[in-house]
Amino acid sequence: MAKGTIMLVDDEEYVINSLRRSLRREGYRIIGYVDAKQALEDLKEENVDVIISDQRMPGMSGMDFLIEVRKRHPDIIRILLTGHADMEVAISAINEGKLYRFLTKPWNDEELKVTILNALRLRNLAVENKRLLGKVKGQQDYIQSLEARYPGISEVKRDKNGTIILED
Amino acid sequence: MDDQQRILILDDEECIIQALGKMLRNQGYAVIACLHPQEALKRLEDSAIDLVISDLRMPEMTGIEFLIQVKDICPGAAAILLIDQEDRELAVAAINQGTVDWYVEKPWDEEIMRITVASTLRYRRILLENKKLQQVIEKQGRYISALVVTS
Repeated sequence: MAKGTIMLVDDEEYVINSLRRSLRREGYRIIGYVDAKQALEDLKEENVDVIISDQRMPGMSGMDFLIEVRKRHPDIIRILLTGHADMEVAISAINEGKLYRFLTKPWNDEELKVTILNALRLRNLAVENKRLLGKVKGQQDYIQSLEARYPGISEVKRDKNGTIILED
Repeated sequence: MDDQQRILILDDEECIIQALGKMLRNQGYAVIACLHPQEALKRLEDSAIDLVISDLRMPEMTGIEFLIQVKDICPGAAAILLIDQEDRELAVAAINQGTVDWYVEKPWDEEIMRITVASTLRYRRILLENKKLQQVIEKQGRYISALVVTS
């Protein structure tokens, strides 16, 4: 099984191919798009973990594309590929929580790999925490339903504020 | 301030720990700066540290050797390695092994350092949250079992 799905978006096909080459030994499933709008469309169906998008593209900038991704799929980790001239844009987007990181062109392979690795670690952990939070809530609902069915069942196990006392 | 995050930095060059220490303190972190690995390990035993930033090339031991020991003493601390450009591959291997979270190249760009520190600490917070959720689930699970037996 692939370690994760990475979506690459750049209007220049050779950049996508070059990124693919850099990542070919990493075991990821990689999908490439030269058109951001098409990428956005396909995200309705595709299960993507991390997106790396170029900033300067005709039609839609990488930043606009990633902001749209954030609206529609907030859990996907977003990385911007920029020239040095656009670093300021990327930095303020990171400060505002719109981006995870940026990579500058030309990227170095180690930085690319580490950034993706950490992006996937973060994504997996965030997904896992969401699942665990759901489980915590499920358990709490179940406790409440038991209490409703058997009033007084847990009376002695609550403190004066009504908080359930859990014994170790 | 109770919620101030604590960073330990280790480098055998005084000018580096001074510059980095000043930068991180200006960003609101509490900083402990050390010139020697043994001194740093001692400080890690004595105080709760959220993040360790270590140089790679030092005369007494490498930053990777140091950070392996850090994981034993203080398994919850995040780690960033300071490297020269030619040591990228070593840093990536240490990241793959889980000894290190990120690397930053010297001379560092202040924004890159700031972003890297922030995202490393953010990951650590989510990791701690994960452990906490697992504990809650375990406790609630035991409580439910007790309730079901009672009912």
